[in-house]
Amino acid sequence: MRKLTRLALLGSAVLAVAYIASPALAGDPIVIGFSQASSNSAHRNTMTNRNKEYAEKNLTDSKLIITNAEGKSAKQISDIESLEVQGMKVLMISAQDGAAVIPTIKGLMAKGIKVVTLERSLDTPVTLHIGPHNKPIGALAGKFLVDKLGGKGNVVEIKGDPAVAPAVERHDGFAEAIKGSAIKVLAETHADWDQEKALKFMEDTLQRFPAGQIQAVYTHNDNMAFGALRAIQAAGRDKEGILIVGIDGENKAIRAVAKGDLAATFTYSTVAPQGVIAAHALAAGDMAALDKLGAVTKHDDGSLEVEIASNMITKDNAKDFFCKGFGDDPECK
Amino acid sequence: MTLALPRGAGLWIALAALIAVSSFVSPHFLNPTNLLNVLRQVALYGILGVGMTFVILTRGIDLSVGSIVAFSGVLGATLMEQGFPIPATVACSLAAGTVMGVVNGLGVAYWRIPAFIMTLGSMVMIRGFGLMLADGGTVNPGKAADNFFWLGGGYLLGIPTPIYVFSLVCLIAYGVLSHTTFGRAIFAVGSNDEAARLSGINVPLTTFAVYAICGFLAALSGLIFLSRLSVGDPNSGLGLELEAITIAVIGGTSLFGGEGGVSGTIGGAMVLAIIANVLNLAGVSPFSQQVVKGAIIILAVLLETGRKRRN
Amino acid sequence: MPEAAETVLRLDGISKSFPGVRALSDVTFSLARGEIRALVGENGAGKSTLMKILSGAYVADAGRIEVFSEALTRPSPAAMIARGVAVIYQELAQAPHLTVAENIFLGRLPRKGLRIDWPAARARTAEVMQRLGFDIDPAARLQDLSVARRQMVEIAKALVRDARIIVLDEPSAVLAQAEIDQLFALVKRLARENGVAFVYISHRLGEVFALADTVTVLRDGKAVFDGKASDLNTQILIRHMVGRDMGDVYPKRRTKPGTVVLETKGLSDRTFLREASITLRKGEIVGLFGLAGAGRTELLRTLFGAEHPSAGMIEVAGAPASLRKPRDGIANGLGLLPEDRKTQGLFLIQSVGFNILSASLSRVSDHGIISARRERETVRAQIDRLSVKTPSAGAAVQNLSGGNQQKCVFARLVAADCQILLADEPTRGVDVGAKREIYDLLVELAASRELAVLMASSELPEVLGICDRLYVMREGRVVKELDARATSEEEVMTYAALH
Repeated sequence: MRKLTRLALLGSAVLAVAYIASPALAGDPIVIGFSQASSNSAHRNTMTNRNKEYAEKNLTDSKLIITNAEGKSAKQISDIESLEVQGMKVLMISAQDGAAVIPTIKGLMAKGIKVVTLERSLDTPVTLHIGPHNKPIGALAGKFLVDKLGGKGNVVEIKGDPAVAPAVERHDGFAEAIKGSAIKVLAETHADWDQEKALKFMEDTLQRFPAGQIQAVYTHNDNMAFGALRAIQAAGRDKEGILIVGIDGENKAIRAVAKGDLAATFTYSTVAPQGVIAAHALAAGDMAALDKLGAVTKHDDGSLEVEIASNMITKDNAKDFFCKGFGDDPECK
Repeated sequence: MTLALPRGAGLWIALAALIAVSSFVSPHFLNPTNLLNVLRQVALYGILGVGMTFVILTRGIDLSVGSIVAFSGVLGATLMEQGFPIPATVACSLAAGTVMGVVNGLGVAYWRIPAFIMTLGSMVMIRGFGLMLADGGTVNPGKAADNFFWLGGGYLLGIPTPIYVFSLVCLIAYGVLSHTTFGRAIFAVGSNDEAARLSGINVPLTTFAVYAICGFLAALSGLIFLSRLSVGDPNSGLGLELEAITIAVIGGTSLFGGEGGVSGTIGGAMVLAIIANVLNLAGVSPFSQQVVKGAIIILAVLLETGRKRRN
Repeated sequence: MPEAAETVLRLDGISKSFPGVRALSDVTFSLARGEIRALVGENGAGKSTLMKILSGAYVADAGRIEVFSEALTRPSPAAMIARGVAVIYQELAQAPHLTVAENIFLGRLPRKGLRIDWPAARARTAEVMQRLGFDIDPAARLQDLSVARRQMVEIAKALVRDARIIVLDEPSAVLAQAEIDQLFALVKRLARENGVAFVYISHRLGEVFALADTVTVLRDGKAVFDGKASDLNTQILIRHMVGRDMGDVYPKRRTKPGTVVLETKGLSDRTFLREASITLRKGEIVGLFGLAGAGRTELLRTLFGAEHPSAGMIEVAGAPASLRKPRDGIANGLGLLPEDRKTQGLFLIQSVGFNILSASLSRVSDHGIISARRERETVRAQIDRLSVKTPSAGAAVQNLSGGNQQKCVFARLVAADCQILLADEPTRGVDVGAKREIYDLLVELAASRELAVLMASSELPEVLGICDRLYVMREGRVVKELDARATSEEEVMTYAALH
């Protein structure tokens, strides 16, 4: 081989080795993977974006890699696998389908990669689960109505998509809270988180039950609460004092509560920046940072949990929460 | 021995029976406010149904109307939020919907992509555009939407405004289908596109036009939804295309093309709206509602096919 | 036929209507043991309706059905098969990828316990084949057999099911002469030796006399003749079928060809046509003859603008014309009567009026809006002029007979002011009486309106009977121009078939 070619090859080899070895020399950043379920709701996008912004600004020794499964559980599994290949130390995950990812998660845990589940819990041991609980929120809503209605009255319940856990839990928590009181669910439906469907149902239900027969409306999210509100306004029955309760704490709902259109809403944390803080703490072994997020409980199977409590927003305290929620609000620009 | 019923009779019989049963099932059904609510639903979904009728008459299909409805709502809300005046917002949204229909039409008529596949692809793409524009969440124009509320939620002489819009749409559609050469061409293309071609009819242009019309009407529908809800939701309108197809098919429009019309579509929209309304009034669980809806749809089509077969 | 044999089948006073059409009126039809009866009539006379009632596929509106002296009300196809009635349709109802044995025992394969007894099936098939004198391998796949043999399998299948009454619906249409003879011999043997009764439906009047003992003639849904074949001859038979004396089959005409309206030189297309050159004059009827695949349809379509030429020129009325789509053809006064009216020519589910008007929409409208009055007048004028037999302009065109459907397509072209008529097989699938009407129509259009007609046909007698000149095509080329009056069938065939 010609001398020049040999030198060139040698030089490239040295450079290649140096390049590969350089992270080891420089001190490699901690790779944190974040597998998000979908991007079609403001809540989920806020979760993704706020965690991302926090990591860029504050976690300089880490590298956050984000994937989005676009609502497909099969894609989420391959997303996690590609994150693993990129050398992640800890995985943040909000699962599209809780059952589908369990085998993959089990594999990660066995390999010593830490797993933090955000908002949606899994039926398998993970390192840490952090997020709000839906059932207590439902219970808070129930308790709110029990208090406000003096223990008796008729409620219309407009539920979310029956196939996902949050809708089931928000219903269960509410049902338990009103048990024993004289509060009755007069009519109910699944409106799939859709405002138009909630409006249509409310419109017909108002026909079914004339003035004075409905005391409150409990909807599983703010979007549907607005649907119910519009129906009531359109029917000219907004002076009846029907209490409308939503969940999620969207910015526009907070304004509506302040105005008196909605009676209450409950914040549903977007787990941001708590999610990435917890992941970083686990990766770096910094348990103190973890404690700062909230009370850490330990389960029998070894997994930890930090519950992010929900705040009830009513007319009294709505002002304090302006623009602190998520979602589009023209006055929060 | 056999009853020689006129075309479409099955539908109107089913409708009459439905109304009779509904007044029986719930005393609130015949309440004037309730009937107006039902008519508003007829108008909202009927506009989509009319657009779909045009497309199905040419033996095509448009699966993207739900996505166009959502997108035009999001676009309208976004423009309003930015301070655009209402007329400009309306014009832009209608134009956007028409453009999407035009793209569908190009694909089906000139690039020879089967309608099912072309509109399936645009359904997914347009849904994506809507999500991109709304950044995943809903778009809330706030006060700016108040001046627009009258279109979807307002009343004119005691009748909900969408009904006027729907009536106008139906009149124009009827006129076009029954009395213009374009309408005749639509039926010809749907019945036998080769014979239409040999008769000198411009088959690609006719096909192209009906998709543009469908896109326009979908955008119009989206604006009415937006006006009523005062929010642009990129996730709205899921499954609307099936609703529109159902309305057209119950109304006697044949999926094989060349048969159908506006009056049938109106009937179909009424059947669907009444079913949904009366089941809510009766407090039937939403799951049972699905079952009942499907059964009635099959029944209505059976009546019409049975009548055809007997004749 | 043995005298005073028992009656095996009796249809009495059968009537059946469809919307707008009375298919059968009070028809009586009977069969005795071992009788071979021919059922004859024009298209639309009611033959297939009668046979469908016999097979149980249709239910008669009125009348009695008696099979082997058993009166049946609304029998189903299964009931009729069980009583020994078998119908062998032109489009054989067979499973082409299965073997002969499997087809014969379709649905009734012999079993050994739970498993199929293949050896038994094959043995019994071979036995049946031998009994019938057929030389067919039971293990052969149906799709590998010729049509004639497939027909024999069908007959064998009927016999295995103990059919005592067999209906043969135009079986000879797909057979060569030798096979027809074989079929007739078989039918006669089964009738004489086994007493099987046959109903034989055919358009070929010669066969009626060769095979049948008795004949029933249907016309417009009524049985107008029922008697011995020996009491008939061709002339009388046709008269019964058509209701009038046919006279000559083809109308007499005197031509006075005018100026050249269409001329093409060296017309070729990308796939098939090779340098076709023809000339057409006003008032002429010119034939285009060739064997299957000669290129007649391609030439007509290219002249109309439905296909693109790759080379050559077309001149209409002396001026070059660019015909790239049907609209161009129509604008230049050309009109195409397509080869297959059902798939290319008609809007089957639409009305007669719709079909007639489809090429004239701009003529009856202003700024795109159709004038109902002009529409009505145009349609009515065409229906009257061409004598289209239909209950009304709004009747569905699919309920019309083949001949009247064809007239609707003609009407469309005439309404669109066609000057040059390109007709592709104008009398295909049209019965005797209607054929004559179409010939008269073509002659009249050529004479009075001075239309030039270029007519592609595979029926040589028709071409020689009605055309002034003819072109012979072979393998995409126009090989010869002949004077129709001065040539013979042999001469034409020579040019059409020579390699």
